[in-house]
Amino acid sequence: MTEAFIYDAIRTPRGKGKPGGSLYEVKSVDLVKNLLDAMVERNNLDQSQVEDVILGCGEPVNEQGQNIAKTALVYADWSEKTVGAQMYRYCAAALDACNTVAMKVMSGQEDLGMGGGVESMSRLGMGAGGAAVADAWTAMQSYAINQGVAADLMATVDGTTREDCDRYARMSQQRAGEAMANGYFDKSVVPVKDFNGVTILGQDEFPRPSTTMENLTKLNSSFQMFGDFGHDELLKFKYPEIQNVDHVHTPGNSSGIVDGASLVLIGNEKAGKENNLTPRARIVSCAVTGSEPTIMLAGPAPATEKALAKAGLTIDDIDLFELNEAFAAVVLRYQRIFNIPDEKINVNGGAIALGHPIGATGGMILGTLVDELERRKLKRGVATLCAAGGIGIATVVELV
Amino acid sequence: MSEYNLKSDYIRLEKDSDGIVEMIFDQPGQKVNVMGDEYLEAVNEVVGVLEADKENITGIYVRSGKDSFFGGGDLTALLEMPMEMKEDELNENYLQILNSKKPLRILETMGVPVVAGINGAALGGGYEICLACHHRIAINKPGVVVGLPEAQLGLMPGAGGVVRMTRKFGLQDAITYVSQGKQFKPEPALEKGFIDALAKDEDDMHAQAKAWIKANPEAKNPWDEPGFKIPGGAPNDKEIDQGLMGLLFFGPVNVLTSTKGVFPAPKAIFACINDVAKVDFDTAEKIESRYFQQLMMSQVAKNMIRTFFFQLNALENGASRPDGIEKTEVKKLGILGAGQMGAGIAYMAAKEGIEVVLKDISLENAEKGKAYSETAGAKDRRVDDDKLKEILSLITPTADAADLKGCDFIIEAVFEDRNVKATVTKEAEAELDDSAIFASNTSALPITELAEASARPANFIGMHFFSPAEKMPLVEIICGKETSDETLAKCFDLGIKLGKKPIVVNDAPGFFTTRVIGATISEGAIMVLEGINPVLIDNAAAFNGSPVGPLTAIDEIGQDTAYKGAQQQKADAEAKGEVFEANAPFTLMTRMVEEFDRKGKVHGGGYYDYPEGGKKTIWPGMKEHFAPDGYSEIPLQDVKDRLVFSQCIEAVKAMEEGVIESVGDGNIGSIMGIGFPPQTGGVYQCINAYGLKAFVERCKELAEKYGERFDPPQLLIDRAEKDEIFV
Repeated sequence: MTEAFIYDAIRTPRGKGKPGGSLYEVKSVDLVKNLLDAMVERNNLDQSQVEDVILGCGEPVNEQGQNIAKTALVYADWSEKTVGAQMYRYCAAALDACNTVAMKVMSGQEDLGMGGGVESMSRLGMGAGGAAVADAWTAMQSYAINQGVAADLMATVDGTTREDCDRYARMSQQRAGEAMANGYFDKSVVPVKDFNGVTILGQDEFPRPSTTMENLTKLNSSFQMFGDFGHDELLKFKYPEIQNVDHVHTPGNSSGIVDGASLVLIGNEKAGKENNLTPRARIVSCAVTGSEPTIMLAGPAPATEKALAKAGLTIDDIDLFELNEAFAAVVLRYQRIFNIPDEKINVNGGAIALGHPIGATGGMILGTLVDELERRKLKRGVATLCAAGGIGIATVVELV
Repeated sequence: MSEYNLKSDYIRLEKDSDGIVEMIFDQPGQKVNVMGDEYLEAVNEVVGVLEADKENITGIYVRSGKDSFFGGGDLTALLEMPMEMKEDELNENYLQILNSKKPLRILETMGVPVVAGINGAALGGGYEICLACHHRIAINKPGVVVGLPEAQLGLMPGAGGVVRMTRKFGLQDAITYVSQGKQFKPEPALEKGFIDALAKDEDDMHAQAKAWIKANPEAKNPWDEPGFKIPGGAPNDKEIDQGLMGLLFFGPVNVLTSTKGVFPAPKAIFACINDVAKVDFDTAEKIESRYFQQLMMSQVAKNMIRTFFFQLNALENGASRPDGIEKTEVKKLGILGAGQMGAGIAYMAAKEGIEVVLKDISLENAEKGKAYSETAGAKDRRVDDDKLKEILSLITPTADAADLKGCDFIIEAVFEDRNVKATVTKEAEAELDDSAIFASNTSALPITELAEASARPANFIGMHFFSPAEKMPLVEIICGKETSDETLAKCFDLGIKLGKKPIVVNDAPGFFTTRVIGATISEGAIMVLEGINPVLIDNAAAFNGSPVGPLTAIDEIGQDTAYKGAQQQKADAEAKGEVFEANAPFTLMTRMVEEFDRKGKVHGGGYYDYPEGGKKTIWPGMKEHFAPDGYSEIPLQDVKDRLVFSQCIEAVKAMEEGVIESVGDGNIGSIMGIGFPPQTGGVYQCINAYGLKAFVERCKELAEKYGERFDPPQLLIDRAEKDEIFV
């Protein structure tokens, strides 16, 4: 089988995902164009050599709608030969876009492509795309609960407390703050500029590194209301041993709502040589898998096991983990299952501090993982995310 | 006088000189018009004839030739409907449902005004006919009632009713009216928009109908006007308001959590109303047909039709009342004991216009009991100030047994203590005529034994009310060995008069209801002692469709009360020289009360803790003392089945022993008295629905795993072999 290499991985800084956030004025298509331009410039890339661009997107409607990848390619005056596709897999979209490009390369059908994603949560909001489960009959067969209530359910099932979550959140903030102060993200973050070349946002703006336990303790539960309006009762259809749900998640220990985009250049060895690119990491294996959909967020561990098994590796062969910090309880469960110490996981913080632009995050954490493996001179890493519907996704990479 | 020649004689057509055709439903050989095959044949023919002649018609006036307007669907046919059909049969059945709506649609869109004149009950299919008309006039008199009660029998309207209700009232109101099966009398019906005008009498109705037709030659239903929008908006509108958004988002969750998923009708109705709001009328009728077909074939609809229609009607018509005895009426009712139960019964009786003597050991207590009627009356929407005054004037509180003179019926509602009951029996009887009936309200004390205190055991009977008496619909009548048929008939008649559903059983420990609910409470206790998660036990009961779980039930009653009962049983057994074997409830109650001082909710906590202002949570001691090494894991289905099967088996044993004779009484008693899951149709119908043979097999499995108390009783085995269901 042909090997697939990561040649470059870039992202925009993450802007606060609401009116007043720095990227609120920027359309999704411009977030992507910034990265497309930078990819060419950084790598002196011949656009026509990139066969396909697959971009994840969580709300593929309106100005982010249909096929944002091809729209952005045409808008950016990219080579007409390069095609684009939009990928929808909830929070797993961007990593799956990268995996799909890698699989095309491994299968030998394509030589060079790009994966990634884009999300303007400030401009589109959450839920803009509607949902099939919003249909009454569908909903009544699906036992779908609010995702935050699902995270609270996971904490309740696991015995994870509010304090555990807040402590984890504070660590994420501190780590993100240190990483930014030390310039660990500089290699991959491409400032977002306007069409005159004026920088709109140069750095992540969501983290609050000085966050204290006291600040976090004061925050109210984000999802109690959904619980009270029936979701706490609904989940008992699947979890009849549950008495009351402990609503531990708050805006402080859940992922932040932000805008941003990511782009990862993936190709085979031949394409790298022809385009004068240096391989940074090899995509060893990747996997998607499903888990119980009501608790929804339990996918990362089985997905990781599946990807490791494909690669013939064990959890001990992995030096660093990037697990999307959708909610603190998700990370704490993963650590508990695999007995992973804090020192090996999300070492530069995660979405709790930096934010989670739904359709773009997978590409971001993949880039962060490669950067950090390089900085620490380690070998292997796993990037993984939970996603709605019980989906889990994982990718194993190895530095070249 | 008709100029139309019709093959069918279900509908008469009469045309007047103004060209108005009266379309009169008058099914031959029936007291009420029924929506079955004959209706369909007739209505199809009639709309065809009218359509052909529409150039000569000014309008159509739809009315009934009977005392009532229309009786609704043919439930006997529905009960016999197979639950599984081959694909071609399914298709054919679907087309029948769909085609049955067509004549009403043709009538509605013929281009002439159509008015309904409602002279009596127009329920279900009857009101669906009215909905297809352009204007509805009802006579404002007793007996006239409109609405779509199908959901109460696990069904939904299937003749365009859901489609039109959605378009007429908007999603929110349509969901409320249809899924709750709301029925309205003329005045509230006018206020809610179910009808458009009231008439004084039959002649006034005819006059108004014809006048409206003449005044509205262009009449159409709003949904057939161009640019029609559903009131309050539709789910696929570009912009939807917050109210509708909330309904769409939380509505499905509410339906599921409030029905625990065991009632298919509210689910289907909610979803159908959503779906039909998104498409045009003709497509909407297809969608309605599909949901209707699904419910029609459901086991739950069959359960509910059998129990809540056929068996309940039979019960109310006196199936368990002795034949050949004139209907009786109680003139003056004496109630002994003015506690919550006595006070509640006094209120109910006075509300029905019966004179009540409310006796307790002190006048103060008796007055307190009377004061309960003031509170209950103030809360009762059907009782206004004048009515409340009348109720209070009918109740005489007293501490003097002499005031019982002249009472023709006594209900004794003192403590569950044989000696106290015996004392008051004697005291009262001394004041009564020989013909007076003495009914003891008890949940478990044997009536034949209590009757020993009576000089007239033939007049002595048990009357087990449920608390709160004025709200709970059931009364369990218990015949002692000596109880006469006349006594039973009088007691039954009083039960009906008080608005209750009286079931009749024979004397035995725990009678019927207490015995059956005891079985599930006991099973709950056994599971606690097995170390099963108590949360799972109560949640399993909830998912069975029970209003309360066995552990919550004991917390409400009080572990101390259950403890006293258990101690009494022990004392009784020992007094008779029997060896008392401690069963699971006895062991559990003893530990809860003696060892842990957990005496129930009112004492600060039992199985649960009750934090102030918070939700109840399982007392941590449950795990510590009963599952110190972690909860035992058994399949959820086993937990659920143990709670239900224990009751069904006990009910079959009660029948085997002759405690209960009527299946209907058992079904209704189990649902209305002790909260057996209603969607099952009751404790016997539940077995029918499971399949008798399968039920026996499952009993054997449970017996193998959990104990011989699940061994199928012989009566069940015999019936299973003969495929003889419980009806």
